[in-house]
Amino acid sequence: MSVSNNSLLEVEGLCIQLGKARRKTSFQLAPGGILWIMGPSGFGKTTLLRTVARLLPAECGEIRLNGAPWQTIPGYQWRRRVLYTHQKPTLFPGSVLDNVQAAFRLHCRAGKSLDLELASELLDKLKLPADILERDEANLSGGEAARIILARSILAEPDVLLLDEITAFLDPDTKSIALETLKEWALSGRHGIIAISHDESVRRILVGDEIHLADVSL
Amino acid sequence: MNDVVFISNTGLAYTSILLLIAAGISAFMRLGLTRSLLWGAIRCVVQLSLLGYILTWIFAVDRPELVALLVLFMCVVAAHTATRRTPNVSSFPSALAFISISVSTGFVLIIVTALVIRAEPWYTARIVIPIAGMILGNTVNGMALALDRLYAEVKLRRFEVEAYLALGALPKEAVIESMRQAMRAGMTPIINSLMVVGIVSIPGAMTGQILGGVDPAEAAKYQIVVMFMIAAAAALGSMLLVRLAYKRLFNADGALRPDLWK
Repeated sequence: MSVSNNSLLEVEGLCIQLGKARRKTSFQLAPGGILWIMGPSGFGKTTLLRTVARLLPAECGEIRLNGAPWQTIPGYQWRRRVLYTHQKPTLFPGSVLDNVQAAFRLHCRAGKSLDLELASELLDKLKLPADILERDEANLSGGEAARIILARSILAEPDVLLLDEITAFLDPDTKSIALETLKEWALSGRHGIIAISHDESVRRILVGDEIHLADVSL
Repeated sequence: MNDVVFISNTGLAYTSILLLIAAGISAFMRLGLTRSLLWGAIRCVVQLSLLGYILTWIFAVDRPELVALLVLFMCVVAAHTATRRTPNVSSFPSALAFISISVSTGFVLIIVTALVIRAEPWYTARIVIPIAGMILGNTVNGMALALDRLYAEVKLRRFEVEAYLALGALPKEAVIESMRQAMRAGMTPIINSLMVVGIVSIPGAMTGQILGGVDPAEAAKYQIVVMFMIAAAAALGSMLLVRLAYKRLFNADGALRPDLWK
């Protein structure tokens, strides 16, 4: 099986099980790349992202991260590097600071700590007020929560971000700010983004390659 | 003091009046419980009578292996019961509950018999068996509550749990708050009992001792020991069971089992 040296993430013949139907898909994501998963509702877009994140088991196929097959990387280490953000914004109980620091309290990042300056810069870029770090998550609006989740995900320093309808809770202004921030993050180096969105404006801003699930083999 | 209040067979027969009251209410209100109540009453009489005879024999023989065998059998039944009273849990192996129950009961039992009561020898059947029975009878419910609550909490918090997993959390890190809630649920009954004992309730062990002619002050001391040992066993048993159980919520890859999303 050939391994492309310049691929960040390679998916080859990956099965997605949807009830009794099974689809197979293959694609590659280069460093700094953005991929769009297209397809009508119920075609398995979310299932595909969750399978790539190893939150769902892969029935068949191969996924490689920087050339390393998924079987050689423990599940939790994989998920640290291939981070899935759910379409339903879910914050942890506590303050916003607790949320953006959550990843750094985990075993997989032992010895690392959150760069608070970087966090404040990112929150500012996402048009969130400076005092938001002290606020309780229960007092945030849907749009604020979605941007905090975006910040939490970027600050966790994954290699690949899997975005599931990330802009669903954002208004047009904050949406374009969030998307520009994401684009800048992906293009800044070794990162990559795979996204699902029904929103045409999202695709216009985050220009990238497209995969049409309707075209993949059955 | 040794004024044991004996119950005559005629007196025992009169208790059927109490049962008839319960059965009468069930029939009058059409609860459909009359048959279960009668079957329960028959089992109660047969089981307790048998227990009386078996204990008489075991106390007379007083062999450590026999005591151990009976306590283990009690643990097996307790483990089976604990895993059947859990509506949120489907097919949980009672072997895991057995490990938690037998370790916690054994540990507390040894401390109480060897250090507190200082029985000679510590495995004296007359002491070990009733104490094991009290520990098991009172911790089974707490352990069932802890197990059920663990599954219920994880199902309820599945988005939060998955958000933790997505950040690279180990399974235990992702469900640690659910594990704490489960242990709280397991320990709540005994904490409530500690609060009201002697005010709202006079526990069975103390009642039995008083009816058996023991000085109430002495019976109270025993009851304190009983309450503390139940608290320790409930904490230990719930912790062991929750720690053994949480791994079953995840697949081999450390992701939440898909059926928990339904």
